[in-house]
Amino acid sequence: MLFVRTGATPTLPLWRVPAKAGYVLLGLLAAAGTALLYTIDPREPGTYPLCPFLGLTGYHCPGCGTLRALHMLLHGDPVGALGYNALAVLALPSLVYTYVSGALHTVGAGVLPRVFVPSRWIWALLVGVLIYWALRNLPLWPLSWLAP
Amino acid sequence: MRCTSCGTESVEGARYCHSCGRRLPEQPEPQFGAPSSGQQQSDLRATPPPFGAERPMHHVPNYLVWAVLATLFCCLPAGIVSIVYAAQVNGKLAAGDLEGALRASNSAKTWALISVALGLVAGAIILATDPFGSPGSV
Repeated sequence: MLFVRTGATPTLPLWRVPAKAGYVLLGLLAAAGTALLYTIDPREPGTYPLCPFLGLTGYHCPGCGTLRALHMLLHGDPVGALGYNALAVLALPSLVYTYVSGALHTVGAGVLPRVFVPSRWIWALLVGVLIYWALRNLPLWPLSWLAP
Repeated sequence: MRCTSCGTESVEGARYCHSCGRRLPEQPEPQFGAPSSGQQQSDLRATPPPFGAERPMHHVPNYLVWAVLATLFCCLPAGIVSIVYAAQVNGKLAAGDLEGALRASNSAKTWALISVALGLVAGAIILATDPFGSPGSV
């Protein structure tokens, strides 16, 4: 939602994406992506594009290996998944919880509480992502384990 | 007050729902003794929080999920910027600064959209120049 704030005039949304439509869209994308990832192995070249950051710089980004990690998870290999992208595997449960609790809340079923994450945790996440980004590019054992 | 369309709890005195953007029904200005902006700010936090000391009364989306998804999938640093704004949303909410939280929320959303757009453009360029090239996908 982008708002225009000018002095005393009321807050006007420039465009709006209804919350329900957003959840439906994200759910459909996730379902399609899951089906594609289950059937087509991202370890084989030929279907998925190369990471732009890796292509441009030669360094791994924090997201490199996410598709391969999800593929390993879908085929019941959590250890293999951690080897491709530990951050993605660790982030997955909280992403799923946030999606499910938010989607239920949107349709009026507040079964799962929406968690308010204190800001210092989010700052810690940011620092964690930056450290992870740096460490997985160091060619030193055991840090090389973090690289996909 | 609650939005009649999507059910989201809105900011006191807001004319539009911050979640879906629909116009909210008119409501009388709240009167708390001598009304001042400072008074209203403290009233926003007057009710004890449901659980957790820092949980604010109002829900302002911080788009943290989108920020993390952008970081994990788009492979571009715009996701990092979105995480910064998500942290600002929750920090300002906890401090009672609703205006600031809404501003940071808008920035978080804008940057999430930018990272998705950049990811699509970069992906398209890579597919065009090096179609399905080397292993080492996202």
